[in-house]
Amino acid sequence: MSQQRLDELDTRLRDTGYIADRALLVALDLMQILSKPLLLEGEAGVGKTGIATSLADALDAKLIRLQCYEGLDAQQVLYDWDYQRQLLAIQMMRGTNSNLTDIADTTSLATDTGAMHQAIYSEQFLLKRPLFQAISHNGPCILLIDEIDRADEEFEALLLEVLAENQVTVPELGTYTATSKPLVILTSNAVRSLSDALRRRCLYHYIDFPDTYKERQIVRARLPQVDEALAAQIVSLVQRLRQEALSKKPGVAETLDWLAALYALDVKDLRNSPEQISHTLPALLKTRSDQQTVENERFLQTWLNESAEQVETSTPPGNSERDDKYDGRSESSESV
Amino acid sequence: MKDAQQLCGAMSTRLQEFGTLLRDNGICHDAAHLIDLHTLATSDYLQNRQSFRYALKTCYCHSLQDWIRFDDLFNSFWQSPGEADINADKSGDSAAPSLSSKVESDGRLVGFAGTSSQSTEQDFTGAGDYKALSLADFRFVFNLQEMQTIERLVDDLARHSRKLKSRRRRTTRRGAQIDMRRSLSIVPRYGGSVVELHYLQRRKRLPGFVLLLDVSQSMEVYARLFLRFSLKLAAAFQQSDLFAFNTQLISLGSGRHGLSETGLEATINAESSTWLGGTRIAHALTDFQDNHGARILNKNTTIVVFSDGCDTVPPQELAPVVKQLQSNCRKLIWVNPLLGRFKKGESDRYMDPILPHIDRYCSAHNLQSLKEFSHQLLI
Repeated sequence: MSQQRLDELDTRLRDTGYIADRALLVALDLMQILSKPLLLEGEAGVGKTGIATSLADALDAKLIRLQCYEGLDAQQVLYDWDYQRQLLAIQMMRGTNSNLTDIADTTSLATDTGAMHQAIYSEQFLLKRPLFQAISHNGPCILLIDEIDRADEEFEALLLEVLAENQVTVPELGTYTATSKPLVILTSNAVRSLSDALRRRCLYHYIDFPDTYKERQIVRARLPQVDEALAAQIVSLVQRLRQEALSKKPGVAETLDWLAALYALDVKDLRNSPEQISHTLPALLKTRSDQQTVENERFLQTWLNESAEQVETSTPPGNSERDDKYDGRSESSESV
Repeated sequence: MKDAQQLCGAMSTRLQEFGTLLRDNGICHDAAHLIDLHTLATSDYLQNRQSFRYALKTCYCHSLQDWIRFDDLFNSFWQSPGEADINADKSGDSAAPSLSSKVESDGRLVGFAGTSSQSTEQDFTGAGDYKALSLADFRFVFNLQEMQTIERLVDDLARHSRKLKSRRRRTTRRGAQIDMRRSLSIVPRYGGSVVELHYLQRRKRLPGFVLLLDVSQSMEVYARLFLRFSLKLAAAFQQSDLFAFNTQLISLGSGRHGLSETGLEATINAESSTWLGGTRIAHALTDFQDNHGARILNKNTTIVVFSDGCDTVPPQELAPVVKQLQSNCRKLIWVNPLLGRFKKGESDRYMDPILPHIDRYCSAHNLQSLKEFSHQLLI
């Protein structure tokens, strides 16, 4: 049963263009079975955010995204009041007693501050922010809390309460409990350490840079129009670059950007296009120091010379083994 | 049916034993995990070892450290003697995620103590006595377990420093931006008129740090911990820049770029392969001032130099460089772990000439003094 579920999920994700390995599929499956948030860590550009969008497409669920940053607080993630409309309503209540029956009992508004308070703190003046939206959404919903490590520790504490109880309390209105629990995915680039309390409440998965075969699959899925041989060359070069001491190693997103750039320049073979490589290198390497490192150390020239000696094959070696690794249907069914 | 129940019972016992093994090795195992395991035990994840491994890994791991260690622990518990390694993660040609010295130890930092190469021993056990460890000079910690505990405490300390300052806003009686929430909440009190206003004000801007780390031979015992502390500090305060020096200055990056300990070690190793001769502090600081000072330094920057001051040039040449640095920043802190090497009243020929140009001079040779130093950072 679980194998069938994983296979089905894999197929759906592939349809959206996301190639997930078996471990990630299991993590996504457990997230649904155990109703626990999933914390994804990994280098930038390996597909942490992408899995949330793809999963939302695959499960036909609504995606609600919360981008974290320093200084994020409850008013920006939970709820806030529409102050402008509240002020207008108050002025209207004071100015006239007519045509306001939809707000409150206008006869006593001018004097009864309690009634005014009740009128302006009603649901019609409530602005639901991402966490609240996810809790109050009817139907399948995926809440992506992106780059949680960029938010403050105080925000983590707030998040703990919401994730644990799946409910939001608005003092003026009461408690809202989720009718259908949202699937929560948190991503982190390890800018700072997350608290143990948050980590303990989450399932965990580390997304590493893909290996050559998987990266070729991703390229094939995302850019099917690109020539297979060119894609293989680029993947090979990117894999080599990741072994260098760069300050920002290129992720899959950079590989795709670079490939798209070279494709747009009508490059067919990297070995014949050293100029185009150096012109488009900023699509792959995002810091000047990295570009200088690669150029100064004649890395590209060395790689081009090496690759000229080797004939790149379009199908990777050991294909059957790779299929075993990534295709769950051929996975060993050895019992524990 | 009876067989299935027996299997579930036996598996439940085995899972609990495995949980105990994980806990003994520093991976959290608590009641919540037991509930998750029970759910897993009743699911069909038990039918396939690879999926079972992935499921346990997802449930039990909470950090990259756990993620890296888990497979070995899983194999040691579930794998039969002589059975081939079933770890699929290691069969791929992509580099496995690496983490500091605990796992990846092929490169020894030049000028660093031998902890990098020694730390391949996988001795994962519990925490030690905090008080005793906090007073122990880092020079006299030879036990891997104690060193790991100290490293964890250093992590906590750096993280705690972040809590001392925040970019969150607070409500005040004066300011530029009106706090609508607070102001409006008191409007009904005045019959709907906006009489009293509250404002939002940011707290003081977060300080930026420049961390200059001496990785020479004389500092080797302390350099790794200082590097780790600097790394965590840079992660907490993103307006920070890291540099290392011995005979030359190396830029290790900025806190904004998500630095990793492994990456820094690799950078230091790569750059230091051409180093010859003794420590050149004055040269390194001049290099920093000339090439990075204008870009990085401002009146909000705190410079922290981790060094014993042992320079190949006379200290009189170092003093004017330090003086110039001090004039360009908010505060210059010099951390010298060998501060207590001279008796009271005895002169330190290396440091005495530059002391007038330093705002704070401290030791940080053990956890307690490191803690005191971390508090001084933000004063």
